[in-house]
Amino acid sequence: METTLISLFDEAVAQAKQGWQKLHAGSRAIVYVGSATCGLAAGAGALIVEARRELSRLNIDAELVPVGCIGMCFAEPLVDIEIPGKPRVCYAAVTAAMLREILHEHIVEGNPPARYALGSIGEETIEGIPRLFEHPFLKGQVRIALNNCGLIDPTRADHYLARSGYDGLRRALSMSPDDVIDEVMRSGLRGRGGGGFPTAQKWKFCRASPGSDKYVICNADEGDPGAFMDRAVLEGDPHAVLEGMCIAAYAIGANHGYIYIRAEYPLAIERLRGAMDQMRTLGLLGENVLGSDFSFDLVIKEGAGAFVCGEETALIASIEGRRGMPQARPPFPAVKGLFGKPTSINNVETFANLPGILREGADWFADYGTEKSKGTKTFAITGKINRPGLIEVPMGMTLRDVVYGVGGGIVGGGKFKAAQTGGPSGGCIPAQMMDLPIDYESLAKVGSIMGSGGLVVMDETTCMVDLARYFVSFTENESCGKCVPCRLGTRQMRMILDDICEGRGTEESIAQLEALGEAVRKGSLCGLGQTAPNPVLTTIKYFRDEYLAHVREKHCAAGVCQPLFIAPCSNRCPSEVDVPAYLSLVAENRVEEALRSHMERNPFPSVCARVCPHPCEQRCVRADLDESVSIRGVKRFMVDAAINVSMPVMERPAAERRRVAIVGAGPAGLTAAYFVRRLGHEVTVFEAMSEPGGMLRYGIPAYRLPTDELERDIARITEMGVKIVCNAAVGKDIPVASLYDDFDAVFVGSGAWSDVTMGVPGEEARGVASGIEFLKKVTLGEIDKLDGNVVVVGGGNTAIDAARTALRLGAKQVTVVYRRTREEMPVQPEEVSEALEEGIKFEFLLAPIEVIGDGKGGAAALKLQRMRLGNFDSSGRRQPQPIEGDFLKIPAANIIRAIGQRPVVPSGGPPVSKRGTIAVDQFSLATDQAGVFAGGDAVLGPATAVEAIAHGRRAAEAIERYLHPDRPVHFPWAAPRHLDTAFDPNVAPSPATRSKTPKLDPMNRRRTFQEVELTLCAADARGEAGRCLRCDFGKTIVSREEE
Amino acid sequence: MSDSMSKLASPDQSLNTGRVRKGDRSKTAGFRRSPKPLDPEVECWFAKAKTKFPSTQSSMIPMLQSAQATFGYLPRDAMQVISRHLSAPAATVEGVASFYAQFRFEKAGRHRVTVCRGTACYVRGSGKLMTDLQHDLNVAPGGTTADGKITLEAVSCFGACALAPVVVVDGTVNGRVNATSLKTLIDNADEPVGDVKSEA
Repeated sequence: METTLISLFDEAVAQAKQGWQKLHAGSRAIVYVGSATCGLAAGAGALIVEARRELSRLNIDAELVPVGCIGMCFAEPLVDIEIPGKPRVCYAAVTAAMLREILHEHIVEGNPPARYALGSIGEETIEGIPRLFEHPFLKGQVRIALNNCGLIDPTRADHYLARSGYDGLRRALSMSPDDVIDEVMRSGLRGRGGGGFPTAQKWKFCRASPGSDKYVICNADEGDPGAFMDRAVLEGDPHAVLEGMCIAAYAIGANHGYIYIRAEYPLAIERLRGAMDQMRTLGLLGENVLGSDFSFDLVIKEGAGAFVCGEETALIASIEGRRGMPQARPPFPAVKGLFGKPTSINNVETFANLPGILREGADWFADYGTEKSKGTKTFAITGKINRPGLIEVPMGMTLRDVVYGVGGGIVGGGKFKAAQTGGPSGGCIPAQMMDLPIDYESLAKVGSIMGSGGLVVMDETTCMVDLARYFVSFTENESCGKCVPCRLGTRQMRMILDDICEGRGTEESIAQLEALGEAVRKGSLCGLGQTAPNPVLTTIKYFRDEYLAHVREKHCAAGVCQPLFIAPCSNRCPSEVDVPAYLSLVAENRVEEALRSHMERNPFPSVCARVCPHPCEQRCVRADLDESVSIRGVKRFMVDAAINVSMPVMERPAAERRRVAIVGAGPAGLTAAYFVRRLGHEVTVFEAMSEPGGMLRYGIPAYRLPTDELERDIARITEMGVKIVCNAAVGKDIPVASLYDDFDAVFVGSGAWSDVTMGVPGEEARGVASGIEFLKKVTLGEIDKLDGNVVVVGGGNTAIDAARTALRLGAKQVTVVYRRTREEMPVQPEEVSEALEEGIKFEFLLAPIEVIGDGKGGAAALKLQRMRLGNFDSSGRRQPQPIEGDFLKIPAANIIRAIGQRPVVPSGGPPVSKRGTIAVDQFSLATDQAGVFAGGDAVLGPATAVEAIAHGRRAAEAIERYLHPDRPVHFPWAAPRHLDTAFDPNVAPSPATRSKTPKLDPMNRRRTFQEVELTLCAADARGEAGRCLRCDFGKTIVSREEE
Repeated sequence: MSDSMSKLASPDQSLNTGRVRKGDRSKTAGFRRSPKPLDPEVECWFAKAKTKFPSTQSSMIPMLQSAQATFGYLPRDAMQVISRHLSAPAATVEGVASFYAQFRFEKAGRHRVTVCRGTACYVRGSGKLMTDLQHDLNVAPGGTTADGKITLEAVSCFGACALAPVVVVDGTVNGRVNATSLKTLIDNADEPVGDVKSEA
């Protein structure tokens, strides 16, 4: 009997291997189509139909193989073509039209179209097509559980057999069950469902429990939102899981097994049923498995939509036909489980690792991973990354490598904010912990858990408070209700988070969340309740500032909590200008009211209309339709309409009026002066240079910001009665102490004027200058021409400003060198395009190493080292690494360095941090010295004008609260909104596309300082303003006024 | 657990437990209940089901699933026969059925629209899609529109996270859905399903 069964099986394996050989060495072409749930959702079903149709039309006899998920979900639908004897080529994002071309070119013409190919698989390579497994997504992966996924047809047992299928089980059956347990113990395999309990240890307990009726259960209830690894394995390689279950059953002495799988996975259920039938035919299930004494059979049980049934005792209850409510442990299922019998419950991925471990040996498995976390782990990486998908990497890979290396970084070039691991039981890991190795212990240390493997990546458009609310409302819904702390605690936590997200939160709310979190954790019987507070507690721990902004300022920086903001654009604007208001007023030709509305929150409309990097436009919802509204363009039209408005100064009784000193007449200082003056106080601004404006005058060239425009904005401020004293450097001409004596409060906005040197030999030569110094001298008229070639080192605004200025002063050829690539330059992309149009050259991946002199004390050339991009650093960009021995020399008598600036703080002034910036409280901008506030570049380092302006207003509000702590004043700019412009929400949006701002012709403008950018004409401006979707319409938001 | 509370029957639809009111002679005939006649469709389903499912407690959920697959929801009569088949009190059957989110107690609409509210989908905007849908269709999640066209549901993770946000309409998974494409899906729900997506 036994011999026959084994030889039947051997026969099947031999045939399978032969068949597999023939498939790959035969004469028929093979067309693989990724057909897991993701592939099908992306259109693979239709592609299969199309492929059949086209193959028949072309009269090609090819083998069509539907395969499971290879994990490259970002590139679905995937179609691979293999001509036997030649490398297999993988094509990505295939449409029906592309498929026809691919079939024709690859199979008929024998010329695989490289333009559609993602990579090739095989020994040889094809010209123009990279190796698939060199693709950054696949390169770092080690596929053990996912070994066959994407490579075989999961509905065919022979494919599984041909690739060493059931070799693991055969070896296990030839060992004693205790030896099998030892092997798995030595491998270090830990439960992959999230608990991380040593698998073999669980089996030992189960085996040791008395009784002969034992059960093995596969937990396929993958309930974590964001996790689909188990689904992919079940759909793509069901036999791997089933083989693993057989091995486990043999080891613990169980004859019956259950697979508890959630009903939301119908395809996986279908594939499992098919695979089980195949196993019965092959003698792998039923009496005498493979002719041995071991008998084993399986039943599939479908879940019914309860997340809590992923917990083992609840799962058991569900199989038994009861409500899925967890029970106290001990007794553990290994002792008393399903139907009261010893039961081992293991996760899908745990089982999928077993065939490999038994086949290749424990040491092979233990070679991967870290000391305590052996082997590999699958992860479903999703969220805001460029390459979402399913991966399997060795334990210990850093989060940074996963997000940037494998995942390809953040969508749209955004910034990484956090990664959520472990689903609703896990925690958020912030950017500063990106070098965390991903293993059980490290994740637990930072307050998260490994969980089943879901890893959701977030950027600045995710609100962490809202995310916490999302997770808690999930666990609230899924709570079985048994334990009061979980049932009511999650509800209360969710309600408090609702309060915070809707503007009703207080500091007390945060403390309550922490206290409740502890109570829920301690008072819950099962893992659901015990871990439900994790997302809340970790977000409070790492993103406390975000919670504070929600409760103190009713501000949601991510632009998610709708009751807290009028529109995404205004919310994103650092100075919170009411964008929809002025846009709609301009559209109705009410330009003066529009300007006044702008002036409420930001006193520099002319400046911002010209130099702001317009973060508002990056959040414009119109971009989902066609392109964002040209907000800055409309603003430019508004200011150029040359109307004048004057802002009122509050009447304060003499007893309340105070005297405030401002250090620095830059955007931060002048804005602070403006708002303090509006509140009725006496303001004096001390400026070191001979004219006010700061960086706006001396740092930004006139072709971007004409001086008279700047002066228009400043005039409005001085007309209000703000006194500006020039040629008065605080700390030099005026002792800082005198300020503290003569005034009631001081704001320091001294900017960041000190530049960073390159630190290379020869830098002292004549002709080498600091970018910011250069620009200042040009504005002062001290430099009015330049001969010869100029090299500018740097990639920020100052570098490009210096380069374009140098060109206008007569330089023959201007070259900008930057140590990274164009995509990573911090300067606005428009500046680079304009510079290129003007004939400025850009050279990338070069870093200065020496200034070569002309022998007479002057500079003659700049020697640069070629760089290449290495690993990712903390800014999320690849760090440049020098290429040994590869240099470039650029001849130039003028070398301008613009690689960074540092604040200069007046001596005797407020204390500075390690970075050289003034240390302040982030909400009030107060320094350690009482009554002294600071803002702008002096606090942020080199930043934008609008951020400095935002600081000015924030500081002014804080100064008022400091001067009158008992008398809360109503800030006029925080008054409730009254906008009466017309808007009909039922009318479809105007079909107009974005108007392009006219510019001066490049060849003409490159030698003058005339303003490059021109104004939209009235019709265009009004039309552009009309493109606004009025996201603010009908919205009431929470008031920021203190009660 | 408020959702499940709303699914519980109102008293007048409760199973006939045979409670006899004092003095109501007409209802007493020994102590035997006279059961209400069953819905013939339920009879038909049960005739097959009782051969397939043994009379043990562990058949509870599979039988409920079978009934729901047949009728689209759990008719009162079906729960009654299950209760008898398994010798389980009606309250127990009701208790199990109301625990699991999969089970519906009311007829569903012609089309099932399920919005995934898993983390990846949420982070990519499914929360807003759901809110807008509720508003446009004037229905709460779990409910059916007044015209019986759409039953709106939420599922916490469908498992196709790389295609976020995901909306499943009548079993077909649609990925990378936005407000516009969602509207098209809903408006066209009554159209017969095309067999091939000609240009992906």
